[in-house]
Amino acid sequence: MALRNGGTTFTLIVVIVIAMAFGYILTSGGSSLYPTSTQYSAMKYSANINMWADANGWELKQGPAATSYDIKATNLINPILYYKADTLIYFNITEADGAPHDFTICYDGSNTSTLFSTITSGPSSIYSNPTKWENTGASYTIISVSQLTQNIGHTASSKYPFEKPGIYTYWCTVHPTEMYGLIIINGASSSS
Amino acid sequence: MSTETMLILVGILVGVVSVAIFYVYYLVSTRIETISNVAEEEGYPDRTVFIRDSLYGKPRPLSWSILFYDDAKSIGLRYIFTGLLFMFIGGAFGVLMRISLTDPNPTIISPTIYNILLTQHATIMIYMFAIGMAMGFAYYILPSRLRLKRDNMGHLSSVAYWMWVLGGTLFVLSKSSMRWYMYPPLSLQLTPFGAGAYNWLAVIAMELIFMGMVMASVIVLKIIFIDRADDIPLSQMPVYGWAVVFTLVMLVSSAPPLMVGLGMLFYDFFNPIFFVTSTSTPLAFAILFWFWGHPIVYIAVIPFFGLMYDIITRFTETKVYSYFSAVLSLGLLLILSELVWGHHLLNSGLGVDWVIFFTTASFIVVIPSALTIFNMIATLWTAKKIRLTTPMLFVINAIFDFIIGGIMGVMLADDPINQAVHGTYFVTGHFHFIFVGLTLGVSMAAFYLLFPTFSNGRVYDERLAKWHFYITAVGSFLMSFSWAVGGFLGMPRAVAGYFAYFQPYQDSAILGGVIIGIGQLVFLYNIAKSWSTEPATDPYNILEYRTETNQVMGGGK
Repeated sequence: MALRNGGTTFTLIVVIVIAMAFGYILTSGGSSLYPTSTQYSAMKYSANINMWADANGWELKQGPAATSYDIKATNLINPILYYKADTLIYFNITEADGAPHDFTICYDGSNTSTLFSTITSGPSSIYSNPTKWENTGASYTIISVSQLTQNIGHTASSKYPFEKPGIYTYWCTVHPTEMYGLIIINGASSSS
Repeated sequence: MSTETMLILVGILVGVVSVAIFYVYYLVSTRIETISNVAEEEGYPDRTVFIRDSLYGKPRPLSWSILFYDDAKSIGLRYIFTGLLFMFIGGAFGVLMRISLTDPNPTIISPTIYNILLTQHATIMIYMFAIGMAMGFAYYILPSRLRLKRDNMGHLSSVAYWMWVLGGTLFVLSKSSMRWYMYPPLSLQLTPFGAGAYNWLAVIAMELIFMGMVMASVIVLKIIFIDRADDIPLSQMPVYGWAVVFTLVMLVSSAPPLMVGLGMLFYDFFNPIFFVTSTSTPLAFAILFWFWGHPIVYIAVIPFFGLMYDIITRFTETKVYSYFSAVLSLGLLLILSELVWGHHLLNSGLGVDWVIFFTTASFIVVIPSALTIFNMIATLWTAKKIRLTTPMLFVINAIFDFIIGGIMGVMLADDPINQAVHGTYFVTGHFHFIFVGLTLGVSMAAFYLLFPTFSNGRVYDERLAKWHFYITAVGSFLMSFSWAVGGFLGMPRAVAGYFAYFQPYQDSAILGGVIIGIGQLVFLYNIAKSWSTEPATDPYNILEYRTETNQVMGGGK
């Protein structure tokens, strides 16, 4: 009986465990959002986004924010940001309240009105529940908790090349129910 | 997959696993009941004491019962075979990394997976394989070598072992890619593209490994100092015993800083106040880490020096040339290892005074290392004959590889050279010369020697074992030497790609890595094949003495 033969049993265990370990490690996520060096060099435009990270929502200025999405308010909360394709966006995120925050994005799909309404409304929308994209390989954290320290006024900067047109959700993985918004990248046809 | 199908499959799986677990429980409880009955007939009040006494002084072959018995030799077997198992996992990861580097651009596996493999390979090899083999041989060899009077803390050793295994398993499951030195802020980035999505799990796993290692170390030290037979004074203890003492004192004294540092790192996941704020520095963690990180690489070497002395003296049928200088140099290694940690941080801004201190201290390590090596060479030199069996070949190869790797290490610790070659494959070449040549080689030598004991009197196939040695030695030299040359030309290490200029060095290293992998497959085939032969020899051998009963009996008779 094989189980009484220590050497064979050990060999079997080794083979099984190596197969399990390979299967486990090799299936770990490679994100489609992970930027490559060629993407950076292919960028045609650049833009800056300066935002304040507040547990109540992303703000464009420090101070009391509008409590809901209002296009006319001077200090928008969770703004929707529009840019052209092939824009290298520099994110300058400033700590506003001393709580841990990060800046994470995921790609929702191409820019259509159906997708926009699916994202922004309904109980099962991505917009109200971005956390399901975390750690699946479909999300990418541009600025992490440890880069943005919890000193009020500290600014962390990072960049990301938005090559593919479409709708991106951005959110803070620590406060996903409050801090979320959209980055809409227009395609080449409308970028002229 | 629909929910119903999944539920059915999960149901079947749970059912099968439950039946398997119940069957194991049935086997174990039946065995326990039988043993309890026998123990009662023999007049023992306690089953475990009976097991301990009846196993005393006998060689202990490999069987499933090592998982349930808590005598020192069973614990040793658990450590040895778990260490070997993790060596194969880590080695497979290493070979996969090599293969992925056939192309200068990371095309075969993604950089993310490469980083995970790199971290897992390093951590598994050091914490699970090197420490596992060191602990395993200490637990397995010392009871018969020191003729223990009692062996009564097995239950704690067992707890330590299971914590260590759990830690190693959780570390693999964490998919961490923070490198084995866990520097913040990288280790705080909880995404697949930072340090791993479950990096907090990796930190918990490291703490578990540490707790297990420190517990086991204290118990082995207790075995050596308190439970040793009365007629073996410390001054006549085998060099191997001293090597284990120095290793474990080093482990126990330098692990606490990093255990505290890991606790602080874990707190930083939730509220970063220790290492990444504007008023603190990640260098603080680097110092806490390397205060432990340098001693641990000696832990992977010193007990194997002890085994080398043992194997050399037995195969040359002579004594250690100078017992005093052997013990003295191992003790000096213990003291100096605590003073040279800064040479891992020469370019991190410690200041020129500290750099000069650490460079000088690192250079002084040459003295005990050379003393050890010259002592071994003198033992070989004064011998009337040398039997070139497979274990002896491994040991001689270890001496060569240690000399090359050691000289490279002294070069690296020299600040001007370090400015040029830090972060290159020269570093990788340096420690792979030592780890593959010495740690792996001497582990294999001791394993071959103990094979008849493990397998209840079987003999390994000498021809396959020789093949295993030659393949491993050639592959290891080819790999480490290519790294050393390429690294000196500036080939950066620990990245998923490289400049095409370095292709020849990478290609020869890939060849070497694959050759090492094939060598270990030969080893695996050898033990599987040899175990199925009939027992043909005495299980006692030069590392497993025949000992007379010396113990304090726990029973009624």
